[in-house]
Formats: sequence, structure tokens, C-alpha cells
Amino acid sequence: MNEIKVVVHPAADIYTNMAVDEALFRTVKKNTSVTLLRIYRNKNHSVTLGYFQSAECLDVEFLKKNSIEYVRRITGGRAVLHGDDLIFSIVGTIDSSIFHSSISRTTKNVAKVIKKAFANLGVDVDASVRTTIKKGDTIQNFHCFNSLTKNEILIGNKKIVGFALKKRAETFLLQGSIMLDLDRRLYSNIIKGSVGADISDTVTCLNDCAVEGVLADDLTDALLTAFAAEGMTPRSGDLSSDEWSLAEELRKKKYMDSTWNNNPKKYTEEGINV
Amino acid sequence: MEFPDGLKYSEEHLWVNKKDNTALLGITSFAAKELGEVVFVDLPQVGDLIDQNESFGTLESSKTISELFAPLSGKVIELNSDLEDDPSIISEYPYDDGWLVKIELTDNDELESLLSSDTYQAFIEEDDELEEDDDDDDDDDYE
Repeated sequence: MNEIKVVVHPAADIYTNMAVDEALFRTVKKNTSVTLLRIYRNKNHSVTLGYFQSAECLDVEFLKKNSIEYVRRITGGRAVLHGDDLIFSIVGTIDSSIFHSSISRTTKNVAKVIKKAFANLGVDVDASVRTTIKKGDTIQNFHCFNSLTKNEILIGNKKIVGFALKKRAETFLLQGSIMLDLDRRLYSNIIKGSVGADISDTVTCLNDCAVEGVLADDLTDALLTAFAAEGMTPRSGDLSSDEWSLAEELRKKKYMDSTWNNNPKKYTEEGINV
Repeated sequence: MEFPDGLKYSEEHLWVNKKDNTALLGITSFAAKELGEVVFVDLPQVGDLIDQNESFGTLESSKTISELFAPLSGKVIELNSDLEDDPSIISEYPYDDGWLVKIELTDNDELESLLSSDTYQAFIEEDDELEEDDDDDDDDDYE
């Protein structure tokens, strides 16, 4: 039986949340660290862009008008609208029971746990068997929840959980978003030229599918029970002071830096102490 | 999966094709299979120096950003310009059309640290055997 260190954080701004995930990823060491599961939410609606995505597709005026901040992730994939979701990150090495050199195997392991968590809530789901993501940012391709990777979680062929990963040698960060609720007006308007786009065929949320309302705490409990059922005993913990310090540096010098968020090729990491 | 005899390999799953004082670099068919279809690639510029075992680029496949670690040190003298239009050729033809960069070597001794085709194959098979042990209860629910 393996242990998984569990950190449940109160809702924070998107800059802090991305910085904490990256700090944990940078400090994980092969053979010495247990796998870590972090569960958190964003205080406000916000958008995260995939590492390679262009920020130019965002409707910045709409975002400003609706007080929606945006930030670039270090993981791949497409844009996610946060605020009505529960977010989780898993950090670990290839030695763990989650991560594998095959990306498909890794996401399959995670999908298995999430499927169990949903079953704990009385919700049946499927896992996608195909990948639809292609190069380029189009209206159809810009949202994470409009593009599928194998093993992502579907209900009635609509996506409800998205994954994105970062891999460096044998260490991994997986970031996942589970839609509890969905503000369809915001979702449909964050990308230029997509006003009023119909998303009813591509994305759903837990509270549209569960018999009874599901709160973030219910989903958190269901996830922890599912990890335990998969042989990973949850053990509560928190970040070390060094990890918090690094997260604070990353927040100020990277995630709040418009160069990183808008033009990452020009961004340099000078002054961040690992 | 094939691992051509004339190439050298790194444990980070890149191949090296040395010719005189230059070398072509690319990812192995094993890496291509494990990562899935590449949709974006970010490589250094011509003239940049890369250091052995240091990250020199990134690629995205299956919503995953993977760093590329240089098997050798050198100066980048050519990039595979075809990748700008279609990075998926890295996945389809990892040993020929999908090459990444050409470098001018700065330390020929580093070649000693690379693996032959046979040794690389044994290296990845060792990992696979460990995985098979872990996979006894794998029911392939999601395939």
C-alpha cells in the first residue's frame, strides 16, 4: 500500500494556484518524494492557457469587463475556464503508481481513479478512446473542453474532466479540472469571435448529471476515497517553507508577469531561486 | 519499434547520428510511441549552444509538455524547418524526416556516454519488464 500526500488548499487567485503547482513540480525529486495530490479552487472566474497557446485568441475586453484574469500554465493542452470547477494537481515521479513513461498509461491511471470517485457520487462516466486535439487555435480547438485526449472523462459523450501534463525527465505534473458547475455565458464568450457559440454538445458539469447537488467537499471526499481504493492511502500534509517561498517567487516573477502570459518566448526566468 | 544500428542513443530517448564533427538529433521510436502525436515543438535557434543532459527544447503531445534533453553538447547549425508546418512528422518518422536539430559537436568524448542500439533496447526492455510486473491486474478498462 502506497501513501499519497494530500494537500487541500482554500480557494486562491489563479496566480498563486499555478505558482504553487509549479513549485511542487520543481522540488519533486526522484526516489525521495511521495506522490502528492493537491486539491484547490480559484476564488474567481479565471482562464488558464496551455503552454503553447496564443493569448491573442482571448477576448481581452470581455475578460476585463467580467473581471476574469488569465494566466499561462506550464502544462500542455487548451484553455480552461476556472471558477466553477474543482482543480487537482498530482506531482510525482515515474516510480509512483500514477505516472508512466507512456502518457496514455498515465492518463489511464488517473481516469481509473476519477471514474471511481464519480461512482462514489453515484455518477456513471466513460473515458474517451480517441484524441481530437490538433495544432492551431480555432474556436473549435481553443477550449480544453472542446478537445479530447484519450482517457479523458465523458458523460454522455460530453467532457466533464480535463487533464494536462508537464514532464521533465522522470518527473511529472498533472493538472486536472473537474466541472462542478458551468457558466455557459462566460464559457462561450472568452474567445474572440465565439460569441454565443453552442457548447451544449461538448461539455457538461457534475451538477447537471448528479441526482443530488454535489459540493466541492463531496467531490474531494470522493476523490480521496477513490485513491485509497486504488491502493494509495491519503496522508494530509502541506508545503514546506521552501516550497512556499518558491511559490511566492514564481507568483510574483512569472505568473503575474505579462511577458510569460502573453509572449512566453521572450520570458526569461532570471532571479527565480530554485 | 526499431532502433537502427548506426545510431547512438541516450537514456532520455534521443538518437544521435554522428557524421564527422556534426550530429543530427531526434527522438527514438520508443519516445514517439510513449508520447503520442506531437502537435507543437519549440527548438533552439541556429547559433545557440546546447549542453549535454540539459533541456534544449520542448514538445507537446497528448496535452503534455515534455522537455528534450540534449544527448551531446554542441552548437546548433540547422533546424528541421519542416517541423514548423507539421510537427507530427516527429511521431511518424522519428529517424528520418522527423529529425530535430543538427549540431556541431563541442566535445567528442561525450559520445562515450551514449548507448548502442542493443544497449538502448535492453534499457527500455528492462523498464518494460518492471511495468509488466505492475500490470498483472491491468484490465484495460479504458482502451
